[in-house]
Amino acid sequence: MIFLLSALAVTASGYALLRATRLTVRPAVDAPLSWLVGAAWLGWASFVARGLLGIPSGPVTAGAVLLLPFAGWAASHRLRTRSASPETAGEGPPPPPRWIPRPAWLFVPMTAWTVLVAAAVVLHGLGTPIHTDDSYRVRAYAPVLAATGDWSDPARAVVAMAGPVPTYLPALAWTLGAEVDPIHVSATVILTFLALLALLVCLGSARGVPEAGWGGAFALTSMPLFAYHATSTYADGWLACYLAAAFAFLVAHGRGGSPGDAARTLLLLLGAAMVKREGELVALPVAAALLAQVAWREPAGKGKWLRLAPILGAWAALFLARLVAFGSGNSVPFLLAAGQKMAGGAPAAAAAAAPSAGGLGPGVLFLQALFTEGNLGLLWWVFVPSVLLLVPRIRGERQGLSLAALAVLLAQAAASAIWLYPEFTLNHTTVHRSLLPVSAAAAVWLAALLAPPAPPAAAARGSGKRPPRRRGG
Amino acid sequence: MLLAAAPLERARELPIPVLESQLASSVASRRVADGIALPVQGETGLVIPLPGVEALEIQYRSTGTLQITWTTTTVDHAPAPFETPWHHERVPPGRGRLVFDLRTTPHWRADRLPYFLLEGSGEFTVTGVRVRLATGDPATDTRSFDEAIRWSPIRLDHATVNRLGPPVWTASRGVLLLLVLGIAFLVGAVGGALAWLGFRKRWRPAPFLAVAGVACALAADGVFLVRAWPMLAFPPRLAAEDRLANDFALGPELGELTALARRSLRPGDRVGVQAKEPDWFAWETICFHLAPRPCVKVVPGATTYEGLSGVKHLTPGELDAVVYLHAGVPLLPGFGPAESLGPEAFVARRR
Repeated sequence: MIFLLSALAVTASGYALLRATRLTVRPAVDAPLSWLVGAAWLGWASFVARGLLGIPSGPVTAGAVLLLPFAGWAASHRLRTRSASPETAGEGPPPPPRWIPRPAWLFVPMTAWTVLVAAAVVLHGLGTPIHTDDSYRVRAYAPVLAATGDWSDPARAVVAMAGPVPTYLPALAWTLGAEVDPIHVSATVILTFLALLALLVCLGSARGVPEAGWGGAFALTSMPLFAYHATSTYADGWLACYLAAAFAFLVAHGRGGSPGDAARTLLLLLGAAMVKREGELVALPVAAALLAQVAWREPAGKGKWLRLAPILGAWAALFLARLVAFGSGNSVPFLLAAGQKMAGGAPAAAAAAAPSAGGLGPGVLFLQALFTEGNLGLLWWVFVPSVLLLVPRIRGERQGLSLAALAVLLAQAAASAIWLYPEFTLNHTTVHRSLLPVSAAAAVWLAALLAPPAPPAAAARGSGKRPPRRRGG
Repeated sequence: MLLAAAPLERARELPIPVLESQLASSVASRRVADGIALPVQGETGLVIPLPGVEALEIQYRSTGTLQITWTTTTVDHAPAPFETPWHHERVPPGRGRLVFDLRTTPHWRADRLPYFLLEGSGEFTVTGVRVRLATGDPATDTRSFDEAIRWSPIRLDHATVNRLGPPVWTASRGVLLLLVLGIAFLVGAVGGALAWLGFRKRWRPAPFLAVAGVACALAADGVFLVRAWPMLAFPPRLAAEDRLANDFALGPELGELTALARRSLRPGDRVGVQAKEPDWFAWETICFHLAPRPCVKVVPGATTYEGLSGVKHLTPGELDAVVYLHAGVPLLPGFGPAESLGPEAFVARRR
């Protein structure tokens, strides 16, 4: 019961934050978005309080963290009443929502599969005791340490590996008095997975393109390893959820140039940056693409940067807190490893990086992981020809920068798998997992590309009209 | 999935006296009125030297919760029961029937011998065995093997979180399912778009990419659903102890003992774990699921014991309880069993 109440509190806190920053969309979109944003806020505020300001974790800190967004909402409401500005600033009138994707013969099986996977994730995830070594030592252990207020050197090392969101979100119920039941860790990952699916479906429908939303949800649930990770406590699925949610808004921003979508993207990327140690590395190139998109797409004026400045400030505070809490070595381990590698001191044993007994090197195994291993389903088979055949559409919908961000993410995964840590590719331990975030983001991007065009905001309200045809496919 | 539920077709009975004369086990078996009884304390290995078997059905009676692992072996090789894919199943106490498809085990050939590993505490009595032999016709056996691998169940193991294992289309020729579906997608999408261009003089690849992608993805999803179904744990259980006792797939006895320890230990107890070395995460499993109680791994002879990730440290004198699981060494002095699943699986308290 305390867990359910704490989940509701996180969602309410996230909603208050969205209202305070005027980033609400529509109630159906706001509900899942509030969970994602609330979790990011809880992770950020708890970690910055502990790591940077030295405020111990506990029920008082957790309560204050959950209530702060409400204070912000009240203050923002007061200011807005005075200035009489619109509720969702910087955005034109939204297009009419459309809830049923077309054609039915294609989307009925897709929807059925999505619902089936979501149900299986809930049932299996809540029925399976945590059983993996990494969860015991890091992923599911960090929340226990947070709940008990342990901030010793070894405890900090565990939190550094897990990241603030996977540490503080599952710990909330325990901090507020619930009995420590490890299934709460799984439950928070499951809720994040369901929130992502709901967000995609509702955002697509709210923007008049339910095909993009259901298509994205179907593409995600057709990646077997991603669905499985949603039932585990591993943070790769968590990172993938935040990144995919951020891409939904990044794509929308590319199309419409709405300042609100830019801020939502950056907020969700901040959430991604707080998952695992590599979260920041994964989120950064996407944030760079977003900022380039903001500079390119939105009309000139300092207002467009003002909205993003607090989130960028939060990102800087997060990095500072990391440095103070963990030291430079644990804050940017992958950059250090890359530096060592370039300097000639390989982080991995040279012998371990030799081709496997079957003669396949890490490069071939990486390609197999993308295309034939089956962990990611058919995604990359569809993605590659779609990019090649739909170049005019990518240009027309201004998705070049989001595609570039995907390319950088894929290059990061390839560099890690082939060059930096080839031994983990040869023994199949991390290569498939490390592809989950970029694959989830690619699934959302691809679904948006293959869906019919979004109706313009000023289009006629009759939602039964056929969408206009697009050039190039 | 269907094989596990349905009676084994085309199987013939293996009489118990015949089985008794052939059976080779790591512990002494004994003949009882209705079958062959095997004591299980920790691990009991079992070879049925009957080549040519592709599937078996065993009727059994068990006095404890056990785990059975099945694979195949040869006379001149030590069995490797945990080799990927690791096929294992929980054996609840009481009577039951188990069906084993040996074709999906690693390196299966018709001339290999069925091997079983029983783990836990109790007695496992084989009351009946039916076997299905390979036909001996290469074409039929190859078809049968390909079909078995195509639909082989995914089972939860320690590395599932890293990789689910590639779905296979034709195992005998090494063709992967995703290669077949990927090529089918390319033919459908590009062929459809080109045909549309030819007939309608319009270049519209997006609908063909989408429809071909969805169709092929659904085919892959269907195969995944069939293969993953046996792995899924339904329904959810509210109490952590119930989940551990019933759904801890990687070691049913370990799950049951952890549940017992969770139930019987007080919140403030400081716990040590004695488990077999090396073992797959036995002490980590127990310590993690007992958190936030301070919990450490007991290392014989050490003056200080360390917990998960080196966060907790306790001396032998600070321990209130010990959880013991087939450790192979004596229980720490000063402790005595308080609640037990068996003589080598128990929770001990300071005397």
